[in-house]
Amino acid sequence: MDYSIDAKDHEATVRLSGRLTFNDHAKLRALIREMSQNHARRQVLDLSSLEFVDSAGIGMLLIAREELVGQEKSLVLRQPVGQVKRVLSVAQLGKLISIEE
Amino acid sequence: MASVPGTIVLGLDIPADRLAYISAKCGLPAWLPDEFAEAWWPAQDDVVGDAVGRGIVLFGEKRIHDDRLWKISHAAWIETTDMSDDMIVMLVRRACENTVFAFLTTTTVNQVALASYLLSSIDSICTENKDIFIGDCVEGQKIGIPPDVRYDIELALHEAISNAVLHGNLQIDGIKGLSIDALEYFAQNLDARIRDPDFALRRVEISGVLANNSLTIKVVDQGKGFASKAPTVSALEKSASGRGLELIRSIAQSCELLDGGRCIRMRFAL
Repeated sequence: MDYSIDAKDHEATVRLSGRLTFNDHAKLRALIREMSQNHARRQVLDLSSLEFVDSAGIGMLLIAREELVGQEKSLVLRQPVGQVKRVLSVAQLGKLISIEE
Repeated sequence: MASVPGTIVLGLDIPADRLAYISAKCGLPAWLPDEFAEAWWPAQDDVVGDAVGRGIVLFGEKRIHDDRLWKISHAAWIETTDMSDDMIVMLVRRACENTVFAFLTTTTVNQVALASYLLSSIDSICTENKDIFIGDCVEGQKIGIPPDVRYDIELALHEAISNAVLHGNLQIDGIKGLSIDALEYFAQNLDARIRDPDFALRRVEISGVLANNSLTIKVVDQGKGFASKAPTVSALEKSASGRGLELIRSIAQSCELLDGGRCIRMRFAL
Protein backbone atom coordinates (compact mmCIF):
# COMPACT_ATOMS: atom_id res chain seq x y z
CA MET A 1 0.00 0.00 0.00
CA ASP A 2 1.13 3.56 -0.74
CA TYR A 3 -0.38 6.87 0.27
CA SER A 4 -0.12 10.61 -0.32
CA ILE A 5 -1.58 13.37 1.87
CA ASP A 6 -3.06 16.70 0.81
CA ALA A 7 -3.69 18.63 4.05
CA LYS A 8 -5.77 21.84 4.00
CA ASP A 9 -6.99 23.92 6.97
CA HIS A 10 -10.18 22.01 7.66
CA GLU A 11 -9.81 18.81 5.69
CA ALA A 12 -6.93 16.45 4.92
CA THR A 13 -7.31 14.01 2.02
CA VAL A 14 -5.22 10.83 2.06
CA ARG A 15 -5.14 8.92 -1.21
CA LEU A 16 -4.47 5.19 -0.71
CA SER A 17 -3.32 2.94 -3.55
CA GLY A 18 -2.35 -0.71 -4.01
CA ARG A 19 -3.29 -3.47 -1.53
CA LEU A 20 -3.98 -2.90 2.18
CA THR A 21 -3.30 -6.09 4.20
CA PHE A 22 -1.80 -7.09 7.56
CA ASN A 23 1.70 -6.62 6.14
CA ASP A 24 1.11 -2.87 5.84
CA HIS A 25 1.16 -2.29 9.60
CA ALA A 26 4.30 -0.10 9.47
CA LYS A 27 2.85 2.19 6.78
CA LEU A 28 -0.47 2.38 8.61
CA ARG A 29 1.30 3.42 11.81
CA ALA A 30 3.19 6.13 9.89
CA LEU A 31 -0.03 7.28 8.23
CA ILE A 32 -1.92 7.49 11.53
CA ARG A 33 0.94 9.57 12.97
CA GLU A 34 0.78 11.97 10.00
CA MET A 35 -3.00 12.28 10.28
CA SER A 36 -2.60 12.99 13.98
CA GLN A 37 -0.01 15.70 13.36
CA ASN A 38 -1.86 17.77 10.75
CA HIS A 39 -4.45 20.25 12.02
CA ALA A 40 -7.45 19.32 9.86
CA ARG A 41 -10.46 18.22 11.90
CA ARG A 42 -11.82 16.09 9.06
CA GLN A 43 -9.58 13.33 7.68
CA VAL A 44 -10.73 11.75 4.42
CA LEU A 45 -9.31 8.47 3.11
CA ASP A 46 -9.77 8.44 -0.67
CA LEU A 47 -10.07 4.74 -1.54
CA SER A 48 -10.71 5.14 -5.29
CA SER A 49 -7.23 3.81 -6.16
CA LEU A 50 -7.13 1.09 -3.50
CA GLU A 51 -7.34 -2.32 -5.21
CA PHE A 52 -7.67 -4.75 -2.30
CA VAL A 53 -8.31 -4.70 1.42
CA ASP A 54 -8.50 -7.64 3.85
CA SER A 55 -9.96 -8.05 7.35
CA ALA A 56 -6.70 -6.86 8.95
CA GLY A 57 -6.82 -3.77 6.71
CA ILE A 58 -10.34 -3.11 7.98
CA GLY A 59 -9.04 -3.55 11.53
CA MET A 60 -6.31 -0.99 10.90
CA LEU A 61 -8.87 1.50 9.53
CA LEU A 62 -10.76 1.08 12.81
CA ILE A 63 -7.56 1.80 14.75
CA ALA A 64 -7.10 4.97 12.69
CA ARG A 65 -10.68 6.05 13.47
CA GLU A 66 -10.21 5.36 17.20
CA GLU A 67 -6.94 7.33 17.37
CA LEU A 68 -8.47 10.29 15.48
CA VAL A 69 -11.68 10.34 17.54
CA GLY A 70 -9.46 10.59 20.62
CA GLN A 71 -8.09 13.85 19.15
CA GLU A 72 -11.56 15.14 18.28
CA LYS A 73 -11.00 14.55 14.58
CA SER A 74 -13.31 12.61 12.27
CA LEU A 75 -12.47 9.90 9.73
CA VAL A 76 -14.38 9.45 6.48
CA LEU A 77 -13.85 6.78 3.80
CA ARG A 78 -14.48 8.05 0.28
CA GLN A 79 -15.33 6.27 -2.96
CA PRO A 80 -14.41 2.63 -2.44
CA VAL A 81 -14.52 0.68 -5.72
CA GLY A 82 -14.39 -2.95 -6.87
CA GLN A 83 -13.18 -5.47 -4.30
CA VAL A 84 -12.76 -2.78 -1.61
CA LYS A 85 -16.38 -1.63 -1.95
CA ARG A 86 -17.54 -5.24 -1.80
CA VAL A 87 -15.51 -6.05 1.37
CA LEU A 88 -16.60 -2.92 3.23
CA SER A 89 -20.17 -3.92 2.47
CA VAL A 90 -19.75 -7.59 3.53
CA ALA A 91 -17.99 -6.49 6.74
CA GLN A 92 -20.71 -3.85 7.34
CA LEU A 93 -18.04 -1.25 8.06
CA GLY A 94 -20.50 1.53 7.22
CA LYS A 95 -22.01 0.96 10.69
CA LEU A 96 -18.72 2.02 12.29
CA ILE A 97 -17.11 4.51 9.88
CA SER A 98 -18.79 7.03 7.60
CA ILE A 99 -18.46 6.02 3.91
CA GLU A 100 -19.04 8.54 1.08
CA GLU A 101 -19.73 7.08 -2.37
CA MET B 1 -7.43 -38.12 -11.00
CA ALA B 2 -5.15 -38.26 -14.07
CA SER B 3 -2.87 -35.36 -14.99
CA VAL B 4 -4.27 -32.69 -17.28
CA PRO B 5 -2.94 -33.50 -20.80
CA GLY B 6 0.09 -31.40 -21.57
CA THR B 7 1.24 -31.11 -17.93
CA ILE B 8 4.98 -30.47 -17.61
CA VAL B 9 7.36 -30.01 -14.67
CA LEU B 10 9.31 -26.75 -14.82
CA GLY B 11 12.55 -26.79 -12.89
CA LEU B 12 13.97 -23.53 -11.55
CA ASP B 13 16.92 -23.67 -9.13
CA ILE B 14 17.06 -27.45 -9.35
CA PRO B 15 19.91 -29.44 -10.96
CA ALA B 16 19.08 -31.15 -14.28
CA ASP B 17 19.71 -34.66 -12.89
CA ARG B 18 17.30 -34.09 -9.97
CA LEU B 19 14.68 -32.74 -12.36
CA ALA B 20 15.17 -35.76 -14.66
CA TYR B 21 14.66 -38.13 -11.69
CA ILE B 22 11.47 -36.35 -10.59
CA SER B 23 10.19 -36.18 -14.18
CA ALA B 24 10.74 -39.94 -14.69
CA LYS B 25 9.16 -40.87 -11.34
CA CYS B 26 6.07 -38.77 -12.11
CA GLY B 27 5.85 -39.72 -15.79
CA LEU B 28 5.75 -36.07 -16.84
CA PRO B 29 7.97 -34.17 -19.32
CA ALA B 30 10.49 -31.77 -17.77
CA TRP B 31 11.37 -28.25 -18.87
CA LEU B 32 14.31 -26.12 -17.70
CA PRO B 33 13.39 -22.50 -18.49
CA ASP B 34 15.95 -20.07 -19.88
CA GLU B 35 17.03 -17.84 -16.98
CA PHE B 36 16.92 -14.73 -19.17
CA ALA B 37 13.80 -15.45 -21.21
CA GLU B 38 10.90 -13.00 -21.04
CA ALA B 39 8.59 -15.76 -19.88
CA TRP B 40 9.49 -19.09 -18.29
CA TRP B 41 7.32 -21.06 -20.65
CA PRO B 42 8.34 -23.35 -23.52
CA ALA B 43 7.59 -22.44 -27.12
CA GLN B 44 5.42 -25.07 -28.81
CA ASP B 45 8.38 -26.12 -31.00
CA ASP B 46 10.33 -27.06 -27.86
CA VAL B 47 7.78 -29.61 -26.71
CA VAL B 48 7.18 -33.10 -27.99
CA GLY B 49 3.67 -34.59 -27.77
CA ASP B 50 0.65 -32.80 -26.27
CA ALA B 51 0.38 -29.03 -26.38
CA VAL B 52 1.57 -27.64 -23.06
CA GLY B 53 -1.46 -27.01 -20.87
CA ARG B 54 -0.16 -26.75 -17.33
CA GLY B 55 3.13 -26.14 -15.55
CA ILE B 56 4.08 -27.60 -12.17
CA VAL B 57 6.85 -25.26 -11.09
CA LEU B 58 9.67 -26.31 -8.75
CA PHE B 59 11.53 -23.25 -7.45
CA GLY B 60 13.72 -21.88 -4.67
CA GLU B 61 13.16 -18.90 -2.37
CA LYS B 62 15.37 -16.50 -4.39
CA ARG B 63 12.71 -16.43 -7.17
CA ILE B 64 9.74 -15.23 -5.20
CA HIS B 65 9.90 -11.57 -6.24
CA ASP B 66 10.19 -12.41 -9.94
CA ASP B 67 6.83 -11.80 -11.66
CA ARG B 68 7.60 -14.43 -14.27
CA LEU B 69 7.26 -17.11 -11.60
CA TRP B 70 3.69 -16.14 -10.77
CA LYS B 71 2.60 -15.62 -14.37
CA ILE B 72 3.30 -19.15 -15.57
CA SER B 73 0.15 -20.44 -17.23
CA HIS B 74 -2.11 -22.69 -15.10
CA ALA B 75 0.71 -23.14 -12.62
CA ALA B 76 1.08 -25.28 -9.55
CA TRP B 77 3.87 -23.90 -7.34
CA ILE B 78 6.14 -26.07 -5.19
CA GLU B 79 8.91 -24.36 -3.22
CA THR B 80 11.60 -27.00 -2.87
CA THR B 81 13.81 -25.43 -0.18
CA ASP B 82 15.32 -28.20 2.02
CA MET B 83 13.14 -30.89 0.43
CA SER B 84 14.05 -34.45 -0.57
CA ASP B 85 13.48 -35.75 -4.12
CA ASP B 86 10.87 -38.23 -2.90
CA MET B 87 8.97 -35.46 -1.08
CA ILE B 88 8.98 -33.41 -4.30
CA VAL B 89 7.72 -36.43 -6.27
CA MET B 90 4.87 -36.86 -3.78
CA LEU B 91 3.93 -33.17 -4.06
CA VAL B 92 4.05 -33.18 -7.88
CA ARG B 93 1.65 -36.14 -7.84
CA ARG B 94 -0.60 -34.27 -5.42
CA ALA B 95 -0.49 -31.21 -7.71
CA CYS B 96 -1.65 -33.44 -10.58
CA GLU B 97 -4.70 -34.45 -8.55
CA ASN B 98 -5.80 -30.83 -8.14
CA THR B 99 -6.79 -28.02 -10.49
CA VAL B 100 -4.86 -25.49 -8.39
CA PHE B 101 -2.00 -26.27 -6.05
CA ALA B 102 0.70 -24.47 -4.06
CA PHE B 103 3.10 -25.72 -1.39
CA LEU B 104 5.18 -22.83 -0.04
CA THR B 105 7.11 -21.71 3.01
CA THR B 106 5.47 -19.30 5.42
CA THR B 107 8.19 -16.75 4.56
CA THR B 108 7.17 -16.81 0.91
CA VAL B 109 3.43 -16.77 1.52
CA ASN B 110 3.95 -13.77 3.80
CA GLN B 111 5.58 -11.80 0.99
CA VAL B 112 3.45 -12.43 -2.10
CA ALA B 113 -0.18 -11.80 -3.09
CA LEU B 114 -0.78 -15.55 -3.35
CA ALA B 115 -4.59 -15.48 -3.39
CA SER B 116 -4.49 -13.07 -6.32
CA TYR B 117 -2.09 -15.30 -8.29
CA LEU B 118 -4.17 -18.40 -7.56
CA LEU B 119 -7.35 -16.61 -8.68
CA SER B 120 -5.65 -15.53 -11.92
CA SER B 121 -4.73 -19.16 -12.54
CA ILE B 122 -8.27 -20.36 -11.74
CA ASP B 123 -9.76 -17.60 -13.93
CA SER B 124 -7.61 -18.55 -16.91
CA ILE B 125 -8.61 -22.22 -16.49
CA CYS B 126 -12.31 -21.24 -16.41
CA THR B 127 -11.81 -19.02 -19.45
CA GLU B 128 -10.07 -21.59 -21.59
CA ASN B 129 -11.58 -24.91 -20.50
CA LYS B 130 -15.27 -25.05 -21.20
CA ASP B 131 -15.37 -28.68 -20.12
CA ILE B 132 -14.44 -27.60 -16.58
CA PHE B 133 -16.48 -24.42 -16.42
CA ILE B 134 -20.03 -24.96 -17.68
CA GLY B 135 -21.24 -21.37 -17.75
CA ASP B 136 -23.49 -19.55 -20.19
CA CYS B 137 -21.11 -19.91 -23.07
CA VAL B 138 -21.45 -18.32 -26.48
CA GLU B 139 -19.36 -20.07 -29.14
CA GLY B 140 -16.03 -18.33 -29.64
CA GLN B 141 -16.51 -16.03 -26.65
CA LYS B 142 -14.16 -16.27 -23.69
CA ILE B 143 -15.77 -16.64 -20.30
CA GLY B 144 -14.28 -16.43 -16.86
CA ILE B 145 -15.30 -15.89 -13.26
CA PRO B 146 -17.64 -12.85 -12.93
CA PRO B 147 -15.80 -9.95 -11.14
CA ASP B 148 -18.01 -9.97 -8.01
CA VAL B 149 -17.52 -13.72 -7.57
CA ARG B 150 -13.79 -13.33 -8.08
CA TYR B 151 -13.62 -10.54 -5.44
CA ASP B 152 -15.37 -12.80 -2.93
CA ILE B 153 -13.28 -15.92 -3.60
CA GLU B 154 -10.02 -13.95 -3.55
CA LEU B 155 -10.95 -12.38 -0.22
CA ALA B 156 -11.98 -15.71 1.36
CA LEU B 157 -8.86 -17.44 0.08
CA HIS B 158 -6.65 -14.56 1.23
CA GLU B 159 -8.23 -14.66 4.71
CA ALA B 160 -7.75 -18.44 4.95
CA ILE B 161 -4.11 -18.09 3.87
CA SER B 162 -3.52 -15.19 6.31
CA ASN B 163 -4.98 -17.28 9.16
CA ALA B 164 -2.72 -20.22 8.17
CA VAL B 165 0.32 -17.92 8.24
CA LEU B 166 -0.40 -15.80 11.32
CA HIS B 167 -2.40 -17.99 13.70
CA GLY B 168 -1.34 -21.37 12.24
CA ASN B 169 2.33 -21.51 11.36
CA LEU B 170 3.59 -18.37 13.16
CA GLN B 171 1.29 -18.94 16.18
CA ILE B 172 0.69 -15.26 16.88
CA ASP B 173 -2.46 -13.56 18.09
CA GLY B 174 -4.29 -10.94 16.08
CA ILE B 175 -4.35 -7.22 16.90
CA LYS B 176 -5.97 -6.98 20.33
CA GLY B 177 -7.84 -3.72 20.86
CA LEU B 178 -8.01 -0.59 18.73
CA SER B 179 -4.83 1.30 19.54
CA ILE B 180 -1.50 2.09 17.93
CA ASP B 181 0.13 0.21 20.82
CA ALA B 182 -1.84 -2.94 19.94
CA LEU B 183 -0.74 -2.59 16.31
CA GLU B 184 2.88 -2.12 17.42
CA TYR B 185 2.71 -5.23 19.64
CA PHE B 186 1.30 -7.29 16.75
CA ALA B 187 4.05 -6.00 14.41
CA GLN B 188 6.80 -6.96 16.90
CA ASN B 189 5.42 -10.48 17.30
CA LEU B 190 5.09 -10.93 13.54
CA ASP B 191 8.63 -9.69 12.96
CA ALA B 192 10.11 -11.99 15.64
CA ARG B 193 8.32 -15.11 14.40
CA ILE B 194 9.05 -14.53 10.71
CA ARG B 195 12.77 -14.30 11.61
CA ASP B 196 12.64 -17.64 13.42
CA PRO B 197 13.16 -20.52 10.95
CA ASP B 198 11.36 -22.97 13.27
CA PHE B 199 8.18 -21.04 12.43
CA ALA B 200 9.00 -19.37 9.11
CA LEU B 201 9.95 -22.57 7.27
CA ARG B 202 6.70 -24.31 8.10
CA ARG B 203 4.69 -24.86 4.94
CA VAL B 204 1.27 -23.75 3.76
CA GLU B 205 -0.51 -26.02 1.26
CA ILE B 206 -3.36 -24.82 -0.94
CA SER B 207 -5.17 -27.33 -3.13
CA GLY B 208 -8.36 -26.90 -5.10
CA VAL B 209 -10.60 -28.70 -7.56
CA LEU B 210 -12.84 -27.05 -10.14
CA ALA B 211 -15.82 -29.15 -11.16
CA ASN B 212 -19.48 -28.64 -12.08
CA ASN B 213 -19.40 -24.87 -11.73
CA SER B 214 -17.95 -24.95 -8.25
CA LEU B 215 -14.55 -24.59 -6.64
CA THR B 216 -13.57 -26.59 -3.56
CA ILE B 217 -10.35 -25.37 -2.03
CA LYS B 218 -8.37 -26.40 1.06
CA VAL B 219 -5.75 -24.40 2.96
CA VAL B 220 -3.58 -26.44 5.34
CA ASP B 221 -0.96 -25.20 7.82
CA GLN B 222 1.55 -26.93 10.10
CA GLY B 223 0.69 -25.12 13.34
CA LYS B 224 -0.99 -26.33 16.52
CA GLY B 225 -4.57 -25.83 15.34
CA PHE B 226 -7.23 -23.83 17.13
CA ALA B 227 -10.82 -24.01 18.38
CA SER B 228 -13.13 -21.76 16.41
CA LYS B 229 -15.32 -19.42 18.44
CA ALA B 230 -17.52 -16.89 16.68
CA PRO B 231 -16.83 -13.36 18.03
CA THR B 232 -19.76 -11.25 19.20
CA VAL B 233 -20.70 -8.07 17.32
CA SER B 234 -19.73 -5.88 20.30
CA ALA B 235 -16.34 -7.66 20.57
CA LEU B 236 -15.66 -6.97 16.89
CA GLU B 237 -16.40 -3.27 17.35
CA LYS B 238 -13.64 -3.12 19.98
CA SER B 239 -11.07 -5.20 18.12
CA ALA B 240 -8.97 -4.86 14.97
CA SER B 241 -8.84 -8.65 14.51
CA GLY B 242 -11.20 -11.61 14.43
CA ARG B 243 -13.17 -10.85 11.25
CA GLY B 244 -11.42 -13.21 8.82
CA LEU B 245 -13.26 -16.44 9.52
CA GLU B 246 -16.62 -14.64 9.73
CA LEU B 247 -15.98 -13.05 6.32
CA ILE B 248 -15.18 -16.49 4.87
CA ARG B 249 -18.37 -17.93 6.37
CA SER B 250 -20.46 -15.12 4.93
CA ILE B 251 -18.96 -15.57 1.44
CA ALA B 252 -18.43 -19.31 0.93
CA GLN B 253 -21.21 -21.74 0.06
CA SER B 254 -19.76 -24.02 2.76
CA CYS B 255 -16.79 -23.80 5.11
CA GLU B 256 -15.43 -26.52 7.41
CA LEU B 257 -12.52 -26.55 9.86
CA LEU B 258 -10.74 -29.91 9.88
CA ASP B 259 -7.74 -31.50 11.62
CA GLY B 260 -8.19 -29.46 14.82
CA GLY B 261 -8.24 -26.17 12.89
CA ARG B 262 -5.12 -26.80 10.77
CA CYS B 263 -7.20 -27.24 7.62
CA ILE B 264 -10.03 -25.14 6.23
CA ARG B 265 -12.11 -26.47 3.36
CA MET B 266 -14.22 -23.96 1.46
CA ARG B 267 -16.64 -24.40 -1.40
CA PHE B 268 -17.72 -21.64 -3.78
CA ALA B 269 -20.30 -21.54 -6.55
CA LEU B 270 -18.87 -20.02 -9.76
